[in-house]
Amino acid sequence: MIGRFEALVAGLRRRYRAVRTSRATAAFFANPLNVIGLVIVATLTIAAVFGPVIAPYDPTSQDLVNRLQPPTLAHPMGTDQLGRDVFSRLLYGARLSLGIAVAVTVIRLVLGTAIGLLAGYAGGLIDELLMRLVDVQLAFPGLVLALVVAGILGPSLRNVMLALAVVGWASYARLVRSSVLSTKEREFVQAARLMGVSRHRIAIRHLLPNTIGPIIVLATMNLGTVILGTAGLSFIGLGAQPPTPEWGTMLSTGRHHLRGAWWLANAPGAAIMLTVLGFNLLGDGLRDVLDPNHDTPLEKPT
Amino acid sequence: MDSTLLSIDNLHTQFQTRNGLVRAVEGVSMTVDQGEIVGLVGESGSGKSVTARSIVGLQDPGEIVRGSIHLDDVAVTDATDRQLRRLRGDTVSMVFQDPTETLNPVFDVGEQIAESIKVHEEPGPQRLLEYLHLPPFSSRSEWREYRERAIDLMEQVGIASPADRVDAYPHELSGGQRQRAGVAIALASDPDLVIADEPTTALDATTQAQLLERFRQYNAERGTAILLITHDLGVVAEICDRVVVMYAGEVMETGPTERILEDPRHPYTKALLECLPQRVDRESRLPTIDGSVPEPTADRAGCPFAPRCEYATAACRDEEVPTVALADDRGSVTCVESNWSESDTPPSRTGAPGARSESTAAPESAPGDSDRPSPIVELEGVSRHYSLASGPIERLLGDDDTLRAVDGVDLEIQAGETLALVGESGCGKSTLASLITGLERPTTGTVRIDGTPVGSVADRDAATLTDVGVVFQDPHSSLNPRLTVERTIGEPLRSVGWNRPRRTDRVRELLDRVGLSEQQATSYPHELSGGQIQRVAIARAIALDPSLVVLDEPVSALDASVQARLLNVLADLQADLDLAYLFISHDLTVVEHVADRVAVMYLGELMEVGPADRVFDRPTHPYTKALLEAIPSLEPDSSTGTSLEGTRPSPVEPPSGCVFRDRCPMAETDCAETDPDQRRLGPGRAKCHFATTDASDP
Amino acid sequence: MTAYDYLASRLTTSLAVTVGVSLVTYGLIFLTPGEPAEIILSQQLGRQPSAAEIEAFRAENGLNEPVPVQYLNWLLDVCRGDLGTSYYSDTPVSTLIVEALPVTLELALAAMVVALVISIPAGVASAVHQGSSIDYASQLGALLGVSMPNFWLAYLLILLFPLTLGVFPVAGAGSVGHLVLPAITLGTGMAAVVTRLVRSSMLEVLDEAYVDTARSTGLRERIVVYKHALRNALVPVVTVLGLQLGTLLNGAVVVEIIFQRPGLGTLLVDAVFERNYPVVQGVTLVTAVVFVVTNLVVDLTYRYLDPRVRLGGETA
Repeated sequence: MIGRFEALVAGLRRRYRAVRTSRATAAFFANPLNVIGLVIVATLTIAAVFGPVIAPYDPTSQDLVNRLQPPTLAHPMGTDQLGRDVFSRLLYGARLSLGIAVAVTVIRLVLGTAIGLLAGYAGGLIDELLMRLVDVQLAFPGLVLALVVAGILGPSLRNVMLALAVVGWASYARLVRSSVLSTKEREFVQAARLMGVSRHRIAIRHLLPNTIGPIIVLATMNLGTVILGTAGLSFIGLGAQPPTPEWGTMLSTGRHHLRGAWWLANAPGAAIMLTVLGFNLLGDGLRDVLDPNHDTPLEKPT
Repeated sequence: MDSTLLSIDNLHTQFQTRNGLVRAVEGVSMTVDQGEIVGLVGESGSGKSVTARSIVGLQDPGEIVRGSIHLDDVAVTDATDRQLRRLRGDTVSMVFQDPTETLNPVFDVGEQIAESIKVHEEPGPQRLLEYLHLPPFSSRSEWREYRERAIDLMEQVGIASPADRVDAYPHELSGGQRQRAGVAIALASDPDLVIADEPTTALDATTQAQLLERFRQYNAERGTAILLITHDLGVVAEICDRVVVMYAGEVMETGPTERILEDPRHPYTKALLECLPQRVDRESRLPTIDGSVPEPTADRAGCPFAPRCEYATAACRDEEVPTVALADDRGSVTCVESNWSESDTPPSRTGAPGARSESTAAPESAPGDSDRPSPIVELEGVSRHYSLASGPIERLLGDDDTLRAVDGVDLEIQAGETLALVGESGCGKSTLASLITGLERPTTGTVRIDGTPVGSVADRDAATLTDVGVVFQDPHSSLNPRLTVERTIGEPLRSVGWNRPRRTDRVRELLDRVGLSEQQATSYPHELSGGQIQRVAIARAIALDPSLVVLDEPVSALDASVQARLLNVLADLQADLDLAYLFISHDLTVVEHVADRVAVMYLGELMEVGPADRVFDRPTHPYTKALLEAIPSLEPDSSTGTSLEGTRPSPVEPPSGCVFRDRCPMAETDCAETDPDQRRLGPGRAKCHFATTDASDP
Repeated sequence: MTAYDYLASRLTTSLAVTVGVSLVTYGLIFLTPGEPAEIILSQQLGRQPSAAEIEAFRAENGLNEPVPVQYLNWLLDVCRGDLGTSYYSDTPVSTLIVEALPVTLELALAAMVVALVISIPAGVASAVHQGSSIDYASQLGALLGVSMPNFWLAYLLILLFPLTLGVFPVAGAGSVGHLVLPAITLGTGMAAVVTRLVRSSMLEVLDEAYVDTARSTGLRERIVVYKHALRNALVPVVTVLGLQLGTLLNGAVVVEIIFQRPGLGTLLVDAVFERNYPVVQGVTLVTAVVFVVTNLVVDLTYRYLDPRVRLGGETA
């Protein structure tokens, strides 16, 4: 037992050393854009977790006297048509958006990875069937299908989540499958087969780890896309219903006050954009580090 | 001097990388005269390619920080873009290494050659729209004329039926044809100097010989100077007048080819020549150079070779090393004088430690004895065919082409012997190996291991699997990048159920055997050099004590000095563990050094099988003879014999009768009609109607 | 594999996918919470239908048949061009779509033009001057463009042009002026994606040995970049253009609503809110089929652009 534990610690220490000293980590932090992405995502996460603590007001408490106040010290982002504090609503919205994004992405990732791994590894008829399924999913423009599904299920945030999860798994499946297929042909996998390593172990030990990098990159970028999609569907009126402090819904309400109260539409708009930007920057940075196909090794000319 | 075409003086080219400043070229000075063929030699990382690219102003993203280059009296380093373009269009051309990458895949070869002619002929402003063939700006008839001339050029560089090939896209041509097209692009401007950067490295031996012959002819006819960059001293000996030897970005020695090969003065040149397999007796250890090339980012002082040099003194390590000119135009040496002039015979080389036996034991019982034990592997009439009809319409039309990768092979491998399988790329060597290892299943015929017929991996039992180890060619893909060395080597042990402490001990032992230190157990593959990765792969292959190891081009990706050390490791292992090797290689000089027996393959069939000395000294099959003649010899005066004509036919449509007949100098009508049988000749056999032994043969 | 084989197999897959698409589209109606007939009828009548009315409706519309038979009947009708009738206006769905489709296509096309005009020069300049201020500016612009929600961009544009500067109409369709703001809104996102792609593709190609070969013959850098490099770099870009059409259609929904353009998006959203199922099904099906066909065409174009694929010569 103790031996195992020590081995585990040694393994972790080795991993940590490998990560800390790796050129990849250094390269990630060398690019200021990557750091900005990380900072944005970290800030957002903190806002989502501690939002209720930080928020100066209850996001739904109305104060009709102070309607449509421009930004002041008391209301850093002004108030809306019902006198609610926009800043507090944004903080609560961060929690919603991030929560939905993570949930949807996890569902897509698990579903897609499983299907892709199965298709790539099993091959033959199973592969053919699963890939046609992927083709069918990809044949619909994602948001259009999500809109229809969410609309038919009835407007609610839960249904938006379901709809977005159902329409986004196929790209993971495709990515995993192609990565499995190309890794399968590499010599170290052939060597493992020749040494009698079991199929199960080859899949877990050799195929999956070499696929994980691109998946993490895709998932990171996807978090941004899902936030955009949720906001878009809410904007149309299919997602969160008032008075829920959701960014898309807030923007949609704000449009009626475009001329008089510019902050109403622009505060949530900027919040969405910054968040998505953060995930995109982070995804770009992770791609440089994790995705061997895009990994630019140092040119060593001879 | 009037005859000097190119002069480089104290050139420094550097690269800014994430790891710091790489000093690729550190103070190179050299010249090329009109009409001269100069070889620029060095191992990978020596800075030879960067030097070449600096000459034509293609050093980007590197930067020339010091020194000058004069080409035809124009200072390249100060030239404007326009001057540089004129130089490239008129004076100097370049041929690059990898023919699969040097031609633009979306334009046909005629277009690319014609464009090069046009650039040369029309020095005026080049208009984009004209080059894009937009009708009002570009004259069709003019382009047609250039294409006609492209056909002439293609003929000159030896592309068969050029009128048919002019419209071909690069991917439709073979590697040799592509490289010839690359040469045609270079020659289109009728340059005074052609810089060829490893032009034959990616080609087969026979193709290489043909191309070198073209270079020599062109040089003789036109007086074009050639700067040939290569790691292969054999190629240098073949055609170069003069040699420049580089190491770690600096010139070590220059001189006439003959002098360098016969009387090298610099310790590095000597060491480099000594570790070539063709200079060493069969069955004796290869001398090696200890240590490794210095990190290109490190600060340095003194001679870069000093840490590996057995003559090095404190002065070598710390002080500026002088370049000394030798009398009588015999070149120059950059070395502290006392080192090279004192003795001509160096002390015993470090590569041959006394602890191990001087000669690796070849199996005592030479194969071919009548009372041979049962072989480890036996192939009987083994073929592997692939069906090429993939689409539904082809299948419907019954247009069922088959590719005969391996065809009717009989072969056996005895315990403890090294059987070398040689042949040019695409001849089916690797497929044959896969049939033995079980990655492929034969279409017809039987593979037996230890007397038992076996199928593919899925059908083999654990004992059969452990009995055969494999080492692949490419160091980049043979190890899982996410596993440590320890885990990689331990994987086969784990799959047969060894527990952790037992695995750890065994891995330690294996690391020691292949000459790696224990610290490297926790390294990841990207932290290792190519030679170290191959050692790990070997350790993995022998982990379960196999009786046969299949080595698929194990040293082809490595530099000469690294290659020598790895071959020594393989020899030691064989002696200690009584391993049999199936050694697959296209490099006959390596094969000659390691093999007990040789099997020669062409278009999926075995042409000749026999003991190594017999095959190398008295080949019986015309194809074997051609292969041997194509090896560049290190003797400066010898020239290659007649090399093979034509190109290898497609394995989809092999010639009738004997597959080699359409390129065979001895072929007669009979060869087209009947497929020759394997003919026993003494200890060997050959598949030829005319296979005879020399009169001197018993 | 010959070109014809490829065409045959590609057509077969596209057909299979279209059948799959029709299954999904038809299946959508079963997502409704409750009994479809009842919901449809209550939508039509505007009140809770009686059991007899439901039964009559089921019989009339073949809803008592087994589901596969219902699906086949529907599919047969669709193949004949009959997508059903809107619950509210009694107009055939096909008529509604034929009216709305050009409005959307016009927008998508204009957006694509905006996107290409911005992205190709920006991507090439960015790659050629890697690390320069041009590069950073175009990269930053692209990142902002990718991250910008188009419904917010639309409001910013409205705020700036019609409301502040007084140019271009706020909403509506019909004139070129009406097209400008929606096309910019929709095209920006795509421009951002394509700029990034052109840049990375171009950087990769500029590293290729054949670019050096071209330079070494003495060609001008301009010709090396725009003839030798760009042609290769555009090959992957074309594939993505097809997929980007999907993104355009996604975005068109929102943009059409904001700018009140009577296109497919507006039609679809209205139908979704009214639970006007024949219209929802019709628009979804047509959108998906347009997407499938576009990708088929793009795929074939791609084979034309890259001779390695064109001749089916997967070289060993």
